[in-house]
Amino acid sequence: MRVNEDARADAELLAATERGDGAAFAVLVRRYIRSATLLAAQLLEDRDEAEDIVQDAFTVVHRRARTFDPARPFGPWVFAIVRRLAANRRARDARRAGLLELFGMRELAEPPSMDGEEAILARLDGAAALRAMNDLSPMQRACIELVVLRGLTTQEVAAMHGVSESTVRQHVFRARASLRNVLGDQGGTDDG
Amino acid sequence: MMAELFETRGVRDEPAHWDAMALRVAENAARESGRGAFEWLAQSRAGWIAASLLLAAALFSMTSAGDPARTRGSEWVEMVAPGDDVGKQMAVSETPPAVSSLLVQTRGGT
Repeated sequence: MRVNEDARADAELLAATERGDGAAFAVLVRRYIRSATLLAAQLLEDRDEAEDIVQDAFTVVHRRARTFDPARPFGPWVFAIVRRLAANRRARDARRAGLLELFGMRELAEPPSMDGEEAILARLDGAAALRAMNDLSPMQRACIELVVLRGLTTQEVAAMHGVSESTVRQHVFRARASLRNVLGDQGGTDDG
Repeated sequence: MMAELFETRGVRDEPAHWDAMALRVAENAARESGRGAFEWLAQSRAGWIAASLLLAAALFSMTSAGDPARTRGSEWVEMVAPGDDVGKQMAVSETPPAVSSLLVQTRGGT
């Protein structure tokens, strides 16, 4: 059986995991790994760190399977773990950067530049797209990215970021309007 | 083009990638979580606090119970001490007895 072809509910899979069923756990991981990784990537702005955090999050899930309340939804639980681990990682990185700066090693504290980021920006037709992105709030950017570009539902995004569905819809609506304002006049279109 | 400006630009979004990653993550998670309580004690802050409390409790119980080596030594001294009152007092007592008390005891004992 493929890891994404199992109709059992999350709570059933977690109960099976607790009994030592590794295959059930793999199904559960497969069900949430995409959204968990996208969430971590948004929070950390780094793909590799995002994958590390997702690994740690599912390790926590496996370790604490016994403590999970089956009456509650599984998704928000795992996303809350991802958010907490990402916040810890960011705090740790900030402390490390502060220490390096204190000892005059600022250049080592700088994160490595994204591969090809400059090239991508250079290819953009003018600064309009960049300006449009900068005008968005972090949550507007996060929501429109997940809903429009990644095709997640507003319900999924709400669970991922720990906000209500209507908040997500508002962010998407405002982000679309903002992008249209900036890009519309210049002939640009957003992907939604 | 716009997608390249978002935070998840580096994330591969193909089902085969997620399938493989899910299997890898699930396998690692099961292995890591099975390492047990000792590693938790070594790695977590709560573990260190618990270990420190245990150590403090052990030290306290050792000091409050006295020095076992010394106690054992005292038992040996009592065992091999002379049977008469004066000899026993000289061997067992930590400080030398007063001469007058020895005289009184000697007279009283004979």
